[in-house]
Amino acid sequence: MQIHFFMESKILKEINKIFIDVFEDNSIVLTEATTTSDIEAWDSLNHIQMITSVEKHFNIRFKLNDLLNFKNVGDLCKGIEKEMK
Amino acid sequence: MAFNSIIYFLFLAPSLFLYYLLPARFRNYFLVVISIFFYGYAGPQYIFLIISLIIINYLIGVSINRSVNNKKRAGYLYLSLIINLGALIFYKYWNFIVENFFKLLGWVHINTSPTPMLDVVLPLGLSYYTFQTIGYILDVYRGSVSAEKNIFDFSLFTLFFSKLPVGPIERAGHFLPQLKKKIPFDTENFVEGGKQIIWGLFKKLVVADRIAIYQNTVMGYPSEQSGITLLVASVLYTFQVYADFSGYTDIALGTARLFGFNLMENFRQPLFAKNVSDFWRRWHISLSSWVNDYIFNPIILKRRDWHNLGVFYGLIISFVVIGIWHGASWNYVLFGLMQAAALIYETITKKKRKKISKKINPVLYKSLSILLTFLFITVSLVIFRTHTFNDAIEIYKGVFLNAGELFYFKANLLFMLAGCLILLIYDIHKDLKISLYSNRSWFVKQVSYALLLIYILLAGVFDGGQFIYFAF
Repeated sequence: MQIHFFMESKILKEINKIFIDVFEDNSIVLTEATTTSDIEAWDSLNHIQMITSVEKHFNIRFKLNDLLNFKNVGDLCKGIEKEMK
Repeated sequence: MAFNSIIYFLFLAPSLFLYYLLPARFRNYFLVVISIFFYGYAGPQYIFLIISLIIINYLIGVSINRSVNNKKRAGYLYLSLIINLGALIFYKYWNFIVENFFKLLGWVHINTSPTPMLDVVLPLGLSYYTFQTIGYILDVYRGSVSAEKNIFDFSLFTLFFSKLPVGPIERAGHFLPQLKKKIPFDTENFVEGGKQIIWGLFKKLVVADRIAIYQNTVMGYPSEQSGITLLVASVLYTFQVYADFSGYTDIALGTARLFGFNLMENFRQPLFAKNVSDFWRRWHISLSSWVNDYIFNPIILKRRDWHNLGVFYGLIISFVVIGIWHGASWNYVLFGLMQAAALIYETITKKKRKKISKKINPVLYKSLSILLTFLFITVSLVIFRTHTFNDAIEIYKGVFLNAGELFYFKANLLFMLAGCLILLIYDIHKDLKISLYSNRSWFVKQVSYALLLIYILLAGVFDGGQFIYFAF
């Protein structure tokens, strides 16, 4: 459980940097509950840029069904963790 | 049984009375029965089709849920898509496809016998309930909802009479859980539902049908009208479609509320949209969000390596679907392509527009954005309204070239403008989230609705006919 928590918070920190880069907004502080409505610049174009940047950074490839079921940043972290296993 | 007819209210009143009289466990069965009666009243010949589709999709949903084999699950999904889209294509698009196919053969000089056309009428609500069912099956396939095991509840998900003819296109995750709750008699549901029905009747009878009188006179002979008349009629058409469709939706939502259900919001003050993408987040939300979730998002995510091109491709496909969903006509395709072009433009220029907005007075920028969006929607709705591309061109040309004065009927004009004004004021107060009635007494609130009712009786058009979106 602790290892799982440690992994997720590490992933959260790393994707926070990606979000700042993609959305060009230094003030972004992600939590697991963050959704598209919390970040003004989070539109379709930035969404796929963010997904491809995350995939490149972690060297993974998400499954389409998983991508469609992501509801918030927490789901994204779990998705990354799942693909890294 | 149109929602603006006396017969609808004669059906509604005893239905409500019996619904609350029955023990809670029988109520959903009762709603299934009266919904079948409602549907049969419109056209008994299509009851067999809708019940067959319900049973097939119920079984497919349960089968997807039970199966652990991915290939089998995908097989069930494709089977459902073939059956639902097959029914939609057969009834709605077959003649269009055949006609264009034979036209194409004619262009390449292949002579054929006369075009074989089908003589079928579009079953009531087919475009709405097939999309709703496809959404449900996709949700079950993706695992975001569980398949509904109670066939009566699943039937009611499709059949519930207040949303069956013209939507909203509900989502399983939103509507099905409501069918599991015991609904007590609640006076607030009655008051709020009743108010929404009155407001919907106002939009339909006073605003939409008043404009329709002017609209039908002018647009029946566009070549004989002056430019200013065509311009005014085009602007009024935007109000007409909005009042007509959102009026219907208000009656549908209000009716559902009387029975204790909340249907999804379909309009969010679309005439105050700041850009075209904002407009599509506010207009026919149950369709635009459906297309977003089941077509646009899967496309752009699947094509994410195409970057911008993937988004543009997704926009074009999505809006062609939205366009052609309205009917089998190239004008609807063109309407969709115009929306896609505007959204591609907005995607490309988003950063530039944001920079510009910072240099201009925010109120001025917002007002100009709303005005430009309204103009674009009005221009695109000319194509939506006309049957052929040439008819639309005739109106566009007429606006600039036809000389003459504004044509209007004095008696109708005042009611028409007053109706539009009341509609705009109501939407402004909702859009800015200020309540005009917040500090007023209960008495004032009730009186304002009573006045609205009197205004409907005075200015309403009671033989205005069917809702525009019934045709889709």
